[in-house]
Amino acid sequence: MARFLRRGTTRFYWVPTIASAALVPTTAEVTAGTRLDSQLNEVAGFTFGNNPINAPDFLTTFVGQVAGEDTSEDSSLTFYEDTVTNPIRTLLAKGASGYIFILKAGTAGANPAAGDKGDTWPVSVGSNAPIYTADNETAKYMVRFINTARPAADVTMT
Amino acid sequence: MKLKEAEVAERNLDEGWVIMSHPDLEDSYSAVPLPAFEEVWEDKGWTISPLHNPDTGETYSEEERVAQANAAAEARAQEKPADAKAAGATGDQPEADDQQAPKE
Repeated sequence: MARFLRRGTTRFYWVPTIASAALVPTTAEVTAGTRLDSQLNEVAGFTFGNNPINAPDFLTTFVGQVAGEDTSEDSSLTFYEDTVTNPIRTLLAKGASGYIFILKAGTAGANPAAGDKGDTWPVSVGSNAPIYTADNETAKYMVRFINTARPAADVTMT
Repeated sequence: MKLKEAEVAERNLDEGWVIMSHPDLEDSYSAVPLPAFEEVWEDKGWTISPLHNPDTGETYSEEERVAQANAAAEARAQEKPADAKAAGATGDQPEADDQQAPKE
């Protein structure tokens, strides 16, 4: 057990199909997917939260709360754009449906395998567009996702 | 992900998408644009699935599906210039915010 740097450790996969209703991917499903992090520059969202509801009463001045709706922030991935070929941009076309599987602490071995833990986000691609800027930086494009269902956290691959 | 046949049929016939499956993944299908299949997924062992369209009762082979997807993509590509021409004919102009103020 040790602290770690996400860069170089955390892995991101686009997985087209996961049969498990609990969103637990198999090794075959992740292997049949595409690893995204070699071209990945920035990650936004992919966080799960809750909007608590204030429920004050006359007994106390303290404002108690009850659990409200579960929410997720807008999620997006920003990738480097290549002058010739952008296979990730092609596969994450607008309307594509699948799963972002995030191996937060990486994998035990060289490749994802049973026992590795990650978060599964059911998503569809809402937009996929270049970012234009005159700043001194590399060209990129951003893929925005629609979080289509409740994600599954800390699932262990089978 | 198990896709509903009717949903899949409508989508990929109209938009040039194909349904793919993987030999290691039983009863799992995914809808992808044909270019994505050719550029990425084919190399990862996915194959285009024959498609049964429940609306018409027809079944299409992999070759027919590729031809349909290509035809749909071409049709969509031809629609775009026509749309742009039509917009020009109606005198559509960029939003005011996009226009530069004249120099004094």
